[in-house]
Amino acid sequence: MSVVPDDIDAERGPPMSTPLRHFVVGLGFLLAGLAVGGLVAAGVAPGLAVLAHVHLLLVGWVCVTIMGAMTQFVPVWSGAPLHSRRLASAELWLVGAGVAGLAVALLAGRVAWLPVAGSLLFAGIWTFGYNLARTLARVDSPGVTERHFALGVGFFALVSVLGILLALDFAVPVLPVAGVTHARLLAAHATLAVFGVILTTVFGALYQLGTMFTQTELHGVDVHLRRVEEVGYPVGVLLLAGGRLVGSPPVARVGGVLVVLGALSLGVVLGRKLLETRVPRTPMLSRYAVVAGALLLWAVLAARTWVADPLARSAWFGPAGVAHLLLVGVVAFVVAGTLYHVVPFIVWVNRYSDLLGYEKVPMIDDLYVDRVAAVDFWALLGGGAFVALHEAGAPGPLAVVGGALALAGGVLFAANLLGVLWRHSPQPLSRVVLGRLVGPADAASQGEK
Amino acid sequence: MAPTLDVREIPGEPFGDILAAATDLDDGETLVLVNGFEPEPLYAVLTARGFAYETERIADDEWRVHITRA
Repeated sequence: MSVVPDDIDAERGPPMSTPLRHFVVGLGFLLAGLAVGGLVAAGVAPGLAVLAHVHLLLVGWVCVTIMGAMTQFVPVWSGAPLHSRRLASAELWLVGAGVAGLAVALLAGRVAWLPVAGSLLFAGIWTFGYNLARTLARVDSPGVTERHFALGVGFFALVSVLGILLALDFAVPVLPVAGVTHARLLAAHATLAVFGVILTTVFGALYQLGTMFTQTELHGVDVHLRRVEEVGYPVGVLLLAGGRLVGSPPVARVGGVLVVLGALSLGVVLGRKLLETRVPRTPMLSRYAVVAGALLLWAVLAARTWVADPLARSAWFGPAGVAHLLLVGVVAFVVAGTLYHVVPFIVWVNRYSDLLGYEKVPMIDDLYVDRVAAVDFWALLGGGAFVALHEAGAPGPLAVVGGALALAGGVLFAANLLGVLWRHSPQPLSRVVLGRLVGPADAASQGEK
Repeated sequence: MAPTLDVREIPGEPFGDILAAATDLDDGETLVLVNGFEPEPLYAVLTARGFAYETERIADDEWRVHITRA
């Protein structure tokens, strides 16, 4: 039975369509990225496949999910209506086509295609950035989360400029410019992408999510730590990336220390909230516990390396072997944990909230399968740990086993969330993803236009 | 002795490091690139930047690309 109009209109349709479509597309990129990662670990995907792996996961899954979540949360949390739902829909097509094209070009070794795919991605990110900036501009007194999101959008714009220059440089030599080589621009691009775009947004979201779902508040030392992170962290990211761009160890070193201090602060705040909470454990909170632990461990490990040599190619994300601790332990777990709440929540609100009190309805956490969530948790944790150990130099086929385990975890995770949509969504899955491309709009939407 | 860059020891994407090493070449100097596979995507990038290259296969998992300014 359908309780909301059976319509997905990109412009004015029910609010569930835009974020859910982002999340489903993101899950597809997650599986593709894990598969390519497995091939890299097995040594059968040469050369630029590592770049395909990185972009499929970090742009295709993480950033697309962030974009979907922002279009959902900013209007809800900030009380500012989304500037344009049409742009939010367009951004997904552009970014999706851009990332897919980028991955195909990299896997096929066709560097001439990189600027073409890169342009689509660039256009998509700027569409998103414009839409979000216009939305955030309507917020009267932006809180800590909105301030982080605004910075995140700025970093998005910056990273995409550096990215398109790098893509272009593969096909038509444009670098070095003013002494900035391909290698230095790449270092700045990677630094800004992970620490600027992804972690700034994640930190901002965690101030909201980490208190909301633990039913706790920032108090005492949390407030001071938040101040340290909010000022020091973004300045640190800019200095770290800037230092790597111009090849200045002192500048990068100061930036690295500030980034580490910010990460430590946020890690302590999140850890304290998880210790204080009396809320029963959910898939979301158990994943956030991994995030807090991984973030603190990463910060301690990265500090020493970055003080010694903040420019080293092997130390972009901390010492050897620690990149996966950060990217899986922190980034993947925060995104997976959040999706375990957000997807069931959006579906529940649209399908069941109006029925509450009239008939027996399931609770939000009844929509996914608990046991699958537990298995995918351990598969991803174990897979990530094996790959990290391999990176750190441990012997044996750890990378291949870890890659396979992570892929299995990703398949279960995606299946569990798609199952929520399959069983409970008011619209069929195909319409969630493709919207009006499949089947004509119904009468209700015709009347709305 | 010709400068040598073993790409197998570079973590992640090696293009930046390869281009940096090639850009440092003087006329008549050769850069030897050691790779675990034939780096086909590199060829288009080298040609576009005015480098010439010759590839020899040493073993199943060792390729050497000799790069000079064209």
